[in-house]
Amino acid sequence: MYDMDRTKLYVYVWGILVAFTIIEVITLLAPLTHTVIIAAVITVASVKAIAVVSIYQHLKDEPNSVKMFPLTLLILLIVFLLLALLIAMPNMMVQ
Amino acid sequence: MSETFSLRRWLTTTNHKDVGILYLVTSFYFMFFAGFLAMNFRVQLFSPNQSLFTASAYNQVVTTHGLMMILWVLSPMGFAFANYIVPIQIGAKDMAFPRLNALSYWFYLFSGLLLVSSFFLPGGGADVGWTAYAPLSTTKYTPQVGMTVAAMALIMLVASITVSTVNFITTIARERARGMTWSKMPLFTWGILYTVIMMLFAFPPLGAGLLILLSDRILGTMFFTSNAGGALLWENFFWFFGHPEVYILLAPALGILFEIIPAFSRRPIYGRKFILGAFALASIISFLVWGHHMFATTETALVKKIFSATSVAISLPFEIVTIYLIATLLRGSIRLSTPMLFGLGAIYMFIIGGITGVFNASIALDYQFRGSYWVVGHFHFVMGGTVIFALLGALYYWFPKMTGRMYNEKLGKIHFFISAIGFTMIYFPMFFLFDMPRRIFTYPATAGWDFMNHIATIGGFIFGSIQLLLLANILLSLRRGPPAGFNPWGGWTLEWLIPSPPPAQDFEVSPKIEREEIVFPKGGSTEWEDVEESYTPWPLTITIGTTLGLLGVAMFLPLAILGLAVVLASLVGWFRDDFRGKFAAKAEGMGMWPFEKISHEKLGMWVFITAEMMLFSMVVSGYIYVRSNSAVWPSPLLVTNILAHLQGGIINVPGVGEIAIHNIVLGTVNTLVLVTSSLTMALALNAIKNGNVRGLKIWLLATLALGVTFMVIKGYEWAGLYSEGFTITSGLPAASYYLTVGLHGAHVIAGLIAIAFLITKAYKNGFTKESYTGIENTGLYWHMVDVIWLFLFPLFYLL
Ligand code: HEM
Ligand SMILES: [Cu+2]
Repeated sequence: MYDMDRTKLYVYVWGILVAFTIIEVITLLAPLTHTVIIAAVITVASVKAIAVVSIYQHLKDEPNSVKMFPLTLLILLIVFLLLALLIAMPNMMVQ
Repeated sequence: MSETFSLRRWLTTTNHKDVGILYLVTSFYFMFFAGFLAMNFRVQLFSPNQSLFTASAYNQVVTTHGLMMILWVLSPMGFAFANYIVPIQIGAKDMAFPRLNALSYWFYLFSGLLLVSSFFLPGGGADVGWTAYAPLSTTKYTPQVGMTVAAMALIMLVASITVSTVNFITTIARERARGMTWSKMPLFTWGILYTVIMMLFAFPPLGAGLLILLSDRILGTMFFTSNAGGALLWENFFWFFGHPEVYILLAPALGILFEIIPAFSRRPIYGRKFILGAFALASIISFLVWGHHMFATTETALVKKIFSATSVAISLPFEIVTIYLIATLLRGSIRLSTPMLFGLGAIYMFIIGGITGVFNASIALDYQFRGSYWVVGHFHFVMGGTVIFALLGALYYWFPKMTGRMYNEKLGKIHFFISAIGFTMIYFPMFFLFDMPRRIFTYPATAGWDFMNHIATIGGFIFGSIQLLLLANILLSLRRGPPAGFNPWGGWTLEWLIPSPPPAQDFEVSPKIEREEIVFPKGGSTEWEDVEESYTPWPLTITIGTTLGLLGVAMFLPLAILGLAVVLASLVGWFRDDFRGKFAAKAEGMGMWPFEKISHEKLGMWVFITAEMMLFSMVVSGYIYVRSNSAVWPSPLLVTNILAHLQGGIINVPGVGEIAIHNIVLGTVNTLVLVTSSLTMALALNAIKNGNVRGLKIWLLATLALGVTFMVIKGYEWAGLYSEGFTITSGLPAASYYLTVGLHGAHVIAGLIAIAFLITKAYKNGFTKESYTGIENTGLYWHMVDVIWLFLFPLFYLL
């Protein structure tokens, strides 16, 4: 990729990061239930994170063998989250 | 510099074989220390109503014994052999990061010394059991500074292990000789690879738990003493680490068995692929069973069933492994030399320990056995028995390679038989003591436990004293042992094709594996680094600085500043070595599939990032845990007119009361600052990739400025919060905010220091179009810090 293309791409991603940050804050004002707001904000944050990891950390250009590490982490965290939810269930039901 | 007894050599070495020897000697030293403690409490338990120890002294001795044996003896001894043997087995020049390897060792040694010293501090050491269950381990119940120092020792060990993890994964992935494919890689190396992968995911949770514990102990937060956090929070952290940890201990031992058993059965291992598959399966499941240590807590019935099922499932792979080991034995022609005897002993111990483990995994039986000597018997058979016996086997097996001399076979055999008998005498009686609670410091005469305890103590003394024979054998053979030659056992792996002991550079030419044969290409270039280059004092001085810093934080703050100064000065020294190109001679490894396209620095950085992300995920899980357990949690979501309160502050919410929310405007600004610094960092890398040094300097300076701005805003914000009385001790919302955001801030500062070094180097024209790894890897780290903030911002400011 040429220098200018790359620079443009980086600035473009930066624009997305800024815009999405503002969107996160604005979501707070929306007349939605808490659960929806939480889900929306975390989703937007995740999209931002994915943008940084794949473009700024150029993970998308790396071989699969490198992608493996963050992916394993992601899978482990999802499993962990599910198990943690199961464990926390008795507490949540009390409330 | 290669004289055996040069102090300078041993203090400044980075050669993997030297580091391996250092690990070996140190872990033996710690083993004798922890073993000595054990003999003491066996005396106490010999018969009812003994008074050698008070209850507290007894608890300190048991705790230090357990922590030390598990974390400072078993694992490091495995890594002693790993350091020495793995690079040779895969035909590498050394570890991928020799200086980091030395750093791991020094962190390990000094953390162990910290633990030993905690024992002698006023008030005594940790007396809370190796599991350090909270809230027992908080200052409320364990006020002595020794507990704080022990927790710091553990954190230092976590750091040491994280660095090793990065090093071993990178080494095994990238530095193998040509032709050394995964399918040809020796099984000991495979065992170590599985170990470090498990370590990568298991140790950050322990680190997170310890950080929170230290925050409770030093900063006065209340994570583990409050109802919302409390005992279960620690238990989850601890066992999420603790169960994989037992496999982390086991895996190197199994790897050793996979070398010894075939070598002395004179046939290749049977079912290699199945063994590797079973191993992988066990590593994965080991992360899914931690709840079986918590059956007696408020886990729901469903959760208990899940954990019980996974626990039964995890014994399956080990059954497979055991069966293949036995099959290998049955089909081989067996030679009963000492290493083999220890190997067989380990299998025998493993069968007993494994069977009793399956009993524990049953929920009904566990209610009976929990907290009794049955459990002590179980885990000593697997950890003490299997692992120690395999490690002793490894010592005999590789002793000729490491020293060039044979040990005395007769003494070795005596050592084995008496050890096996002594060991069984200690721990087998404990299965009959399933009604005797563990961790009691004495017992009444009416309990009827005397007889079994007599046997155990006598066994303890037999086992303990016979280890002196091992010591004698080693010392004697070092001087007088007959020369061993290249390959006394007829082994097939690479270490047996080079002289004993191997020369500093291991191989004269890079080996190559063709079909089933290892060859040393004729006239191949050696390109090995100059041996003199592999000495550096900085790993040691960084460790000394860190130790002083930790002791300072625990006891005397000015000492901490001195420690910090030492660390910073050492870092300057380290980077100056880099400027001068010292250590650069270490040419890139071959880059085996599937890692041929990535530099070892970059791979190492990604592994490190994985560990860091795991750490933050755990700290954030702690936050989510206490938050979901709290009745009220301040959140902008509770505020009806958020527009009026974007600046944060104390707000009265009808029906909830007064809550404090954070300044959303400042948080947003800081997010934008950090995001922008990621952009400038990416542009810096882009500039140097195009040979634009001026651009590089500008963008690096911009990144530095933005990072500093972030920290200044943070400081301003925190000052405001403190002046309003929102301090770290004002409850869990404040504590989790300061701890998590503070930890992130510390990472920002670390990144800024690295960027400052990059700028210096850029001004000295240290980067070119072809050489910019420093920029790339610091960039990766910096973006990671950004990514973490992208989640902290909504979690703490918005939701
Ligand atoms: C064969 C598979 C195994 C199973 C199913 C199993 C199961 C269990 C269970 C259920 C417990 C909890 C007992 C209790 O506290 O009530 C336990 C404790 C323990 N196991 Fe295992 N285990 C196995 C293998 C191992 C291995 C290979 C090791 C070490 C190398 C090990 C080390 C330990 C330790 C250290 C404890 C005690 C923890 C404490 O201090 O409370 N286990 N095991
Ligand atoms: Cu377990």
